[in-house]
Amino acid sequence: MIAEVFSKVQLEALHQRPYTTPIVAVTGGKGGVGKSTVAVNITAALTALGYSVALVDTNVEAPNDNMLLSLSLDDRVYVQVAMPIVKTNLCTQCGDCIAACRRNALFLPPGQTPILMGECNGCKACINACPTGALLTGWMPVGETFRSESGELTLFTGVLQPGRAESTVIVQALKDRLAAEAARYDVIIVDTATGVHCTVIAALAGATCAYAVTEPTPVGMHDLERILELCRILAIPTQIVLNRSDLGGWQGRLGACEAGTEITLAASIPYDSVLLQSYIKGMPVTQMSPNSSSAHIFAGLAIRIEKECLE
Amino acid sequence: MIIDSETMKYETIKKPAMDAGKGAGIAVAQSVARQGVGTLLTGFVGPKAYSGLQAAGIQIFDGLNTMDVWTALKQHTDRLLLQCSGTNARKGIPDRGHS
Ligand code: SF4
Ligand code: SF4
Repeated sequence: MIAEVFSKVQLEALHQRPYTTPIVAVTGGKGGVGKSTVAVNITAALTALGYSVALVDTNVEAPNDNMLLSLSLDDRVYVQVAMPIVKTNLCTQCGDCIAACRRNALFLPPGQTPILMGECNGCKACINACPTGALLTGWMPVGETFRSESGELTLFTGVLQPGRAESTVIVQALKDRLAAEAARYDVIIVDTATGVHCTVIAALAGATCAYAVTEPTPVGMHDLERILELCRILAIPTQIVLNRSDLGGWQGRLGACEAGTEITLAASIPYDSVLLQSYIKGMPVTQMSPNSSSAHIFAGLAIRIEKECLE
Repeated sequence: MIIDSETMKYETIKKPAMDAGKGAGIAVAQSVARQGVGTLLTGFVGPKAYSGLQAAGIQIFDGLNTMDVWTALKQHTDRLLLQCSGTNARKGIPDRGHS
Protein backbone atom coordinates (compact mmCIF):
# COMPACT_ATOMS: atom_id res chain seq x y z
CA MET A 1 0.00 0.00 0.00
CA ILE A 2 1.30 3.43 -0.96
CA ALA A 3 1.64 5.97 1.84
CA GLU A 4 -0.99 8.68 2.05
CA VAL A 5 -0.29 11.16 -0.71
CA PHE A 6 -2.47 14.00 0.48
CA SER A 7 -3.10 15.29 3.97
CA LYS A 8 -6.68 15.86 5.12
CA VAL A 9 -6.32 19.61 4.58
CA GLN A 10 -4.93 19.12 1.07
CA LEU A 11 -7.80 16.77 0.22
CA GLU A 12 -10.35 19.27 1.48
CA ALA A 13 -8.74 21.97 -0.66
CA LEU A 14 -8.71 19.67 -3.69
CA HIS A 15 -12.39 18.84 -3.38
CA GLN A 16 -13.55 22.32 -2.47
CA ARG A 17 -16.03 23.90 -4.87
CA PRO A 18 -18.44 26.85 -4.73
CA TYR A 19 -21.64 24.85 -5.34
CA THR A 20 -23.35 21.77 -3.94
CA THR A 21 -24.69 20.07 -7.08
CA PRO A 22 -23.62 16.39 -6.89
CA ILE A 23 -20.78 15.42 -9.23
CA VAL A 24 -20.63 11.85 -10.55
CA ALA A 25 -17.30 11.04 -12.19
CA VAL A 26 -17.02 8.36 -14.87
CA THR A 27 -13.45 7.17 -15.03
CA GLY A 28 -11.36 3.99 -15.47
CA GLY A 29 -7.64 3.56 -15.85
CA LYS A 30 -7.69 1.96 -19.27
CA GLY A 31 -8.53 3.54 -22.61
CA GLY A 32 -11.20 2.10 -24.87
CA VAL A 33 -13.24 0.43 -22.14
CA GLY A 34 -16.29 2.58 -22.82
CA LYS A 35 -16.00 5.46 -20.33
CA SER A 36 -17.58 7.92 -22.75
CA THR A 37 -20.28 5.44 -23.76
CA VAL A 38 -21.19 4.95 -20.10
CA ALA A 39 -21.02 8.70 -19.35
CA VAL A 40 -23.19 9.64 -22.30
CA ASN A 41 -25.73 6.91 -21.61
CA ILE A 42 -26.16 7.57 -17.90
CA THR A 43 -26.50 11.26 -18.77
CA ALA A 44 -29.26 10.43 -21.25
CA ALA A 45 -30.92 8.06 -18.76
CA LEU A 46 -30.87 10.76 -16.06
CA THR A 47 -32.42 13.34 -18.39
CA ALA A 48 -35.10 10.74 -19.22
CA LEU A 49 -35.87 10.63 -15.49
CA GLY A 50 -36.52 14.37 -15.71
CA TYR A 51 -33.24 15.69 -14.32
CA SER A 52 -31.33 18.61 -15.68
CA VAL A 53 -27.82 17.25 -16.32
CA ALA A 54 -24.49 18.84 -17.16
CA LEU A 55 -22.06 16.46 -18.86
CA VAL A 56 -18.43 17.58 -18.72
CA ASP A 57 -16.08 16.04 -21.26
CA THR A 58 -12.60 16.41 -19.76
CA ASN A 59 -10.91 14.21 -22.39
CA VAL A 60 -9.32 17.43 -23.58
CA GLU A 61 -6.80 15.68 -25.80
CA ALA A 62 -9.49 13.87 -27.80
CA PRO A 63 -12.97 14.91 -26.65
CA ASN A 64 -15.81 13.04 -28.35
CA ASP A 65 -18.87 12.99 -26.11
CA ASN A 66 -20.40 15.51 -28.53
CA MET A 67 -20.07 12.95 -31.33
CA LEU A 68 -21.76 10.25 -29.27
CA LEU A 69 -24.61 12.70 -28.73
CA SER A 70 -24.57 14.15 -32.28
CA LEU A 71 -24.11 17.63 -30.82
CA SER A 72 -22.10 20.41 -32.40
CA LEU A 73 -19.50 22.27 -30.34
CA ASP A 74 -21.02 25.69 -29.64
CA ASP A 75 -20.23 28.84 -27.72
CA ARG A 76 -16.44 28.76 -27.90
CA VAL A 77 -14.27 30.41 -25.23
CA TYR A 78 -10.49 30.51 -25.67
CA VAL A 79 -8.22 29.35 -22.84
CA GLN A 80 -4.97 31.25 -22.49
CA VAL A 81 -2.02 31.18 -20.13
CA ALA A 82 0.20 34.09 -19.13
CA MET A 83 3.78 34.47 -20.33
CA PRO A 84 6.32 37.28 -19.98
CA ILE A 85 7.01 39.62 -22.89
CA VAL A 86 10.23 41.63 -22.66
CA LYS A 87 10.16 45.34 -23.46
CA THR A 88 13.84 45.47 -24.31
CA ASN A 89 14.15 49.26 -24.07
CA LEU A 90 13.12 49.21 -20.40
CA CYS A 91 15.32 46.27 -19.39
CA THR A 92 18.43 47.04 -17.32
CA GLN A 93 19.63 43.41 -17.46
CA CYS A 94 19.51 43.21 -13.67
CA GLY A 95 18.68 39.50 -13.67
CA ASP A 96 15.92 39.72 -11.04
CA CYS A 97 13.49 37.91 -13.32
CA ILE A 98 15.96 35.04 -13.78
CA ALA A 99 16.27 34.64 -10.02
CA ALA A 100 12.48 34.77 -9.59
CA CYS A 101 11.66 32.00 -12.05
CA ARG A 102 11.51 28.70 -10.18
CA ARG A 103 11.31 26.80 -13.45
CA ASN A 104 14.45 28.38 -14.92
CA ALA A 105 12.42 29.22 -17.99
CA LEU A 106 14.16 32.54 -18.64
CA PHE A 107 17.71 32.92 -19.88
CA LEU A 108 19.73 36.14 -19.79
CA PRO A 109 22.59 36.07 -22.29
CA PRO A 110 25.37 38.45 -21.18
CA GLY A 111 24.80 41.94 -22.55
CA GLN A 112 21.34 41.12 -23.83
CA THR A 113 17.77 40.99 -22.52
CA PRO A 114 15.99 37.89 -21.16
CA ILE A 115 14.73 35.22 -23.53
CA LEU A 116 11.87 32.85 -22.68
CA MET A 117 13.45 29.51 -23.35
CA GLY A 118 12.14 26.86 -20.98
CA GLU A 119 8.87 25.53 -19.67
CA CYS A 120 7.01 28.60 -18.48
CA ASN A 121 3.91 27.82 -16.42
CA GLY A 122 2.47 31.31 -16.48
CA CYS A 123 3.02 32.04 -12.78
CA LYS A 124 4.05 35.68 -13.45
CA ALA A 125 6.74 35.65 -10.73
CA CYS A 126 9.21 37.20 -13.20
CA ILE A 127 6.76 39.95 -14.12
CA ASN A 128 6.23 40.83 -10.46
CA ALA A 129 9.97 40.75 -9.77
CA CYS A 130 11.02 43.10 -12.57
CA PRO A 131 11.94 46.46 -10.98
CA THR A 132 11.65 48.50 -14.17
CA GLY A 133 8.38 47.22 -15.58
CA ALA A 134 10.21 45.74 -18.56
CA LEU A 135 8.17 42.54 -18.42
CA LEU A 136 4.60 42.71 -19.67
CA THR A 137 1.98 39.98 -19.43
CA GLY A 138 1.39 38.29 -22.73
CA TRP A 139 -1.23 35.60 -23.35
CA MET A 140 -0.67 32.35 -25.12
CA PRO A 141 -3.72 30.43 -26.38
CA VAL A 142 -3.59 26.76 -25.33
CA GLY A 143 -7.09 25.51 -26.11
CA GLU A 144 -10.82 26.15 -25.97
CA THR A 145 -13.94 25.27 -24.05
CA PHE A 146 -17.38 24.79 -25.59
CA ARG A 147 -20.93 24.66 -24.28
CA SER A 148 -23.66 22.82 -26.20
CA GLU A 149 -27.31 22.41 -25.22
CA SER A 150 -29.92 19.83 -26.05
CA GLY A 151 -33.09 19.89 -23.95
CA GLU A 152 -32.24 19.09 -20.33
CA LEU A 153 -28.69 18.15 -21.26
CA THR A 154 -25.85 20.68 -21.36
CA LEU A 155 -22.50 19.45 -22.61
CA PHE A 156 -19.26 21.18 -21.62
CA THR A 157 -16.29 20.23 -23.77
CA GLY A 158 -12.62 21.13 -23.33
CA VAL A 159 -10.20 20.98 -26.24
CA LEU A 160 -6.42 21.19 -25.87
CA GLN A 161 -4.43 22.59 -28.77
CA PRO A 162 -2.42 19.68 -30.21
CA GLY A 163 1.19 19.77 -29.10
CA ARG A 164 0.55 21.72 -25.91
CA ALA A 165 1.01 20.38 -22.40
CA GLU A 166 -1.67 22.36 -20.54
CA SER A 167 -4.39 19.66 -20.34
CA THR A 168 -4.92 20.41 -16.67
CA VAL A 169 -5.33 24.11 -17.38
CA ILE A 170 -8.10 23.30 -19.88
CA VAL A 171 -9.85 20.97 -17.42
CA GLN A 172 -9.69 23.71 -14.79
CA ALA A 173 -11.03 26.33 -17.22
CA LEU A 174 -13.85 23.94 -18.12
CA LYS A 175 -14.73 23.40 -14.46
CA ASP A 176 -14.61 27.14 -13.77
CA ARG A 177 -16.95 27.74 -16.68
CA LEU A 178 -19.34 25.11 -15.33
CA ALA A 179 -19.11 26.51 -11.77
CA ALA A 180 -20.66 29.79 -12.90
CA GLU A 181 -23.95 28.00 -13.65
CA ALA A 182 -23.61 24.71 -11.73
CA ALA A 183 -26.44 25.50 -9.34
CA ARG A 184 -29.02 25.25 -12.11
CA TYR A 185 -28.30 21.55 -12.73
CA ASP A 186 -29.57 18.61 -10.68
CA VAL A 187 -26.43 16.58 -11.29
CA ILE A 188 -23.07 16.92 -13.03
CA ILE A 189 -21.48 13.97 -14.84
CA VAL A 190 -17.73 14.28 -15.40
CA ASP A 191 -16.21 12.06 -18.08
CA THR A 192 -12.49 11.78 -17.32
CA ALA A 193 -9.53 10.98 -19.52
CA THR A 194 -7.75 7.61 -19.45
CA GLY A 195 -5.05 7.08 -16.84
CA VAL A 196 -4.21 8.26 -13.33
CA HIS A 197 -2.29 11.48 -14.14
CA CYS A 198 -2.82 15.08 -13.06
CA THR A 199 -5.45 15.81 -15.71
CA VAL A 200 -7.55 12.93 -14.38
CA ILE A 201 -7.01 14.14 -10.81
CA ALA A 202 -8.16 17.64 -11.83
CA ALA A 203 -11.28 16.07 -13.36
CA LEU A 204 -11.97 13.91 -10.27
CA ALA A 205 -11.54 16.84 -7.87
CA GLY A 206 -14.81 17.62 -6.14
CA ALA A 207 -16.53 14.37 -7.21
CA THR A 208 -19.28 13.10 -4.90
CA CYS A 209 -18.74 9.57 -6.18
CA ALA A 210 -17.14 7.81 -9.12
CA TYR A 211 -17.79 4.90 -11.47
CA ALA A 212 -14.69 3.14 -12.71
CA VAL A 213 -15.42 1.54 -16.08
CA THR A 214 -13.38 -1.50 -17.04
CA GLU A 215 -13.48 -4.73 -19.00
CA PRO A 216 -12.65 -8.27 -17.80
CA THR A 217 -9.25 -8.58 -19.48
CA PRO A 218 -5.79 -8.70 -17.89
CA VAL A 219 -5.07 -5.12 -18.97
CA GLY A 220 -8.52 -3.98 -17.89
CA MET A 221 -8.05 -5.48 -14.42
CA HIS A 222 -4.55 -4.08 -14.04
CA ASP A 223 -5.61 -0.56 -14.94
CA LEU A 224 -8.72 -0.86 -12.77
CA GLU A 225 -6.55 -1.51 -9.74
CA ARG A 226 -4.63 1.68 -10.50
CA ILE A 227 -7.68 3.88 -10.84
CA LEU A 228 -9.22 2.36 -7.68
CA GLU A 229 -6.01 3.19 -5.85
CA LEU A 230 -6.20 6.78 -7.12
CA CYS A 231 -9.85 7.10 -6.05
CA ARG A 232 -8.91 5.71 -2.63
CA ILE A 233 -6.11 8.29 -2.32
CA LEU A 234 -8.58 11.02 -3.31
CA ALA A 235 -11.19 9.60 -0.87
CA ILE A 236 -13.87 9.33 -3.56
CA PRO A 237 -16.40 6.49 -3.06
CA THR A 238 -16.09 4.39 -6.21
CA GLN A 239 -18.06 1.58 -7.80
CA ILE A 240 -17.23 -0.55 -10.80
CA VAL A 241 -18.99 -0.74 -14.15
CA LEU A 242 -17.89 -3.85 -16.01
CA ASN A 243 -18.25 -3.33 -19.74
CA ARG A 244 -18.19 -6.22 -22.23
CA SER A 245 -18.72 -8.34 -19.14
CA ASP A 246 -19.02 -11.60 -21.11
CA LEU A 247 -15.53 -11.17 -22.56
CA GLY A 248 -12.23 -12.62 -21.46
CA GLY A 249 -13.06 -14.56 -18.34
CA TRP A 250 -11.25 -12.37 -15.82
CA GLN A 251 -14.38 -11.78 -13.77
CA GLY A 252 -12.77 -13.85 -11.00
CA ARG A 253 -10.08 -11.22 -10.53
CA LEU A 254 -12.79 -8.61 -10.22
CA GLY A 255 -14.23 -10.53 -7.28
CA ALA A 256 -10.84 -10.34 -5.57
CA CYS A 257 -10.65 -6.62 -6.35
CA GLU A 258 -14.04 -6.04 -4.79
CA ALA A 259 -13.31 -8.05 -1.68
CA GLY A 260 -9.97 -6.35 -1.08
CA THR A 261 -11.18 -2.81 -1.42
CA GLU A 262 -14.82 -2.95 -0.36
CA ILE A 263 -15.84 -1.72 -3.77
CA THR A 264 -19.07 -2.85 -5.37
CA LEU A 265 -19.93 -3.80 -8.91
CA ALA A 266 -22.65 -1.34 -9.91
CA ALA A 267 -23.38 -2.80 -13.34
CA SER A 268 -22.30 -5.43 -15.84
CA ILE A 269 -22.83 -4.62 -19.49
CA PRO A 270 -22.55 -7.69 -21.76
CA TYR A 271 -21.52 -7.24 -25.36
CA ASP A 272 -24.51 -5.85 -27.24
CA SER A 273 -24.67 -5.06 -30.96
CA VAL A 274 -27.47 -2.56 -30.32
CA LEU A 275 -25.11 -0.58 -28.05
CA LEU A 276 -22.48 -0.67 -30.78
CA GLN A 277 -25.00 0.61 -33.33
CA SER A 278 -25.94 3.48 -31.03
CA TYR A 279 -22.25 4.32 -30.67
CA ILE A 280 -21.83 4.44 -34.44
CA LYS A 281 -25.03 6.38 -34.94
CA GLY A 282 -24.14 8.95 -32.29
CA MET A 283 -27.28 8.49 -30.23
CA PRO A 284 -27.50 7.17 -26.64
CA VAL A 285 -28.91 3.65 -26.60
CA THR A 286 -31.43 4.75 -24.00
CA GLN A 287 -32.91 6.99 -26.71
CA MET A 288 -32.30 4.86 -29.78
CA SER A 289 -33.60 1.56 -28.39
CA PRO A 290 -35.17 2.19 -24.97
CA ASN A 291 -36.29 -1.45 -24.74
CA SER A 292 -32.89 -2.99 -25.39
CA SER A 293 -31.07 -4.80 -22.61
CA SER A 294 -28.27 -2.19 -22.60
CA ALA A 295 -30.79 0.63 -22.25
CA HIS A 296 -32.25 -1.14 -19.22
CA ILE A 297 -28.82 -1.42 -17.64
CA PHE A 298 -28.15 2.32 -18.05
CA ALA A 299 -31.63 3.16 -16.78
CA GLY A 300 -30.82 1.02 -13.73
CA LEU A 301 -27.56 2.90 -13.23
CA ALA A 302 -29.41 6.21 -13.44
CA ILE A 303 -31.83 5.04 -10.75
CA ARG A 304 -28.88 3.95 -8.64
CA ILE A 305 -27.32 7.42 -8.98
CA GLU A 306 -30.69 8.99 -8.17
CA LYS A 307 -30.95 6.93 -4.97
CA GLU A 308 -27.35 7.34 -3.86
CA CYS A 309 -26.58 10.93 -4.86
CA LEU A 310 -29.73 12.88 -5.64
CA GLU A 311 -31.97 12.28 -2.66
CA MET B 1 35.93 24.23 -13.86
CA ILE B 2 36.79 27.55 -15.42
CA ILE B 3 40.22 28.21 -16.89
CA ASP B 4 41.61 31.57 -17.96
CA SER B 5 43.31 30.63 -21.21
CA GLU B 6 45.86 33.46 -20.90
CA THR B 7 47.04 32.96 -17.34
CA MET B 8 46.04 29.26 -17.07
CA LYS B 9 44.62 30.12 -13.64
CA TYR B 10 41.52 28.13 -12.83
CA GLU B 11 38.64 27.97 -10.41
CA THR B 12 35.73 25.60 -10.07
CA ILE B 13 32.03 26.45 -9.90
CA LYS B 14 29.26 24.33 -8.57
CA LYS B 15 26.66 22.95 -10.90
CA PRO B 16 23.76 25.11 -9.78
CA ALA B 17 20.67 23.21 -10.69
CA MET B 18 21.21 19.74 -9.29
CA ASP B 19 17.99 20.14 -7.36
CA ALA B 20 16.05 22.20 -9.89
CA GLY B 21 13.18 20.03 -11.06
CA LYS B 22 12.67 22.03 -14.22
CA GLY B 23 15.00 24.00 -16.40
CA ALA B 24 18.22 22.51 -15.03
CA GLY B 25 19.92 22.88 -18.42
CA ILE B 26 19.00 26.54 -18.69
CA ALA B 27 20.22 27.18 -15.15
CA VAL B 28 23.59 25.59 -15.95
CA ALA B 29 23.90 27.64 -19.14
CA GLN B 30 23.02 30.74 -17.12
CA SER B 31 25.74 30.14 -14.53
CA VAL B 32 28.34 29.39 -17.22
CA ALA B 33 27.36 32.53 -19.14
CA ARG B 34 27.50 34.63 -15.97
CA GLN B 35 31.18 33.70 -15.54
CA GLY B 36 31.96 35.33 -18.87
CA VAL B 37 32.97 32.02 -20.41
CA GLY B 38 33.70 32.09 -24.14
CA THR B 39 34.37 28.40 -24.83
CA LEU B 40 32.92 25.31 -23.21
CA LEU B 41 34.64 21.92 -23.31
CA THR B 42 32.27 19.27 -22.11
CA GLY B 43 31.02 15.72 -22.35
CA PHE B 44 27.46 16.39 -23.32
CA VAL B 45 25.05 19.31 -23.38
CA GLY B 46 21.30 18.90 -23.21
CA PRO B 47 18.96 20.67 -25.64
CA LYS B 48 17.99 23.53 -23.33
CA ALA B 49 21.55 24.20 -22.18
CA TYR B 50 22.60 24.16 -25.84
CA SER B 51 20.05 26.85 -26.78
CA GLY B 52 21.14 28.95 -23.81
CA LEU B 53 24.85 28.66 -24.58
CA GLN B 54 24.16 29.45 -28.24
CA ALA B 55 22.17 32.54 -27.26
CA ALA B 56 25.08 33.64 -25.07
CA GLY B 57 27.48 33.16 -28.00
CA ILE B 58 29.52 30.49 -26.21
CA GLN B 59 31.43 28.00 -28.37
CA ILE B 60 30.78 24.40 -27.36
CA PHE B 61 33.06 21.42 -27.90
CA ASP B 62 31.40 18.22 -26.71
CA GLY B 63 31.94 14.47 -26.60
CA LEU B 64 34.91 14.87 -24.23
CA ASN B 65 33.54 12.83 -21.35
CA THR B 66 36.41 10.32 -21.42
CA MET B 67 39.13 12.97 -21.57
CA ASP B 68 40.77 14.70 -18.61
CA VAL B 69 40.58 18.48 -18.46
CA TRP B 70 44.19 19.21 -19.42
CA THR B 71 44.20 16.83 -22.37
CA ALA B 72 41.00 18.41 -23.61
CA LEU B 73 42.46 21.88 -23.21
CA LYS B 74 45.64 20.88 -25.04
CA GLN B 75 43.64 19.38 -27.90
CA HIS B 76 41.54 22.51 -28.04
CA THR B 77 44.53 24.85 -28.25
CA ASP B 78 45.95 22.55 -30.93
CA ARG B 79 42.58 22.95 -32.73
CA LEU B 80 41.89 19.22 -32.78
CA LEU B 81 38.36 19.36 -31.38
CA LEU B 82 35.08 19.43 -33.25
CA GLN B 83 32.55 22.10 -32.40
CA CYS B 84 29.16 20.85 -31.20
CA SER B 85 26.64 21.22 -34.01
CA GLY B 86 23.61 20.81 -31.80
CA THR B 87 22.60 17.53 -33.36
CA ASN B 88 23.91 15.71 -30.31
CA ALA B 89 22.00 18.08 -28.08
CA ARG B 90 18.71 16.89 -29.45
CA LYS B 91 16.18 19.67 -29.48
CA GLY B 92 13.50 19.18 -26.87
CA ILE B 93 9.94 20.11 -27.63
CA PRO B 94 9.30 23.39 -25.84
CA ASP B 95 6.32 23.03 -23.59
CA ARG B 96 4.95 24.34 -20.36
CA GLY B 97 4.58 21.14 -18.33
CA HIS B 98 1.87 21.32 -15.74
CA SER B 99 2.35 18.33 -13.59
S1 SF4 C 1 5.76 33.35 -15.76
FE1 SF4 C 1 6.67 32.11 -14.11
S2 SF4 C 1 7.37 30.25 -15.15
FE2 SF4 C 1 7.02 31.77 -16.75
S3 SF4 C 1 8.99 32.73 -17.06
FE3 SF4 C 1 7.91 33.98 -15.56
S4 SF4 C 1 8.54 33.21 -13.56
FE4 SF4 C 1 9.13 31.67 -15.10
S1 SF4 D 1 13.96 41.85 -14.10
FE1 SF4 D 1 13.29 43.29 -15.69
S2 SF4 D 1 15.01 44.70 -15.90
FE2 SF4 D 1 15.80 42.93 -14.77
S3 SF4 D 1 16.64 41.58 -16.38
FE3 SF4 D 1 14.51 40.94 -16.05
S4 SF4 D 1 13.36 42.10 -17.58
FE4 SF4 D 1 15.34 43.10 -17.43
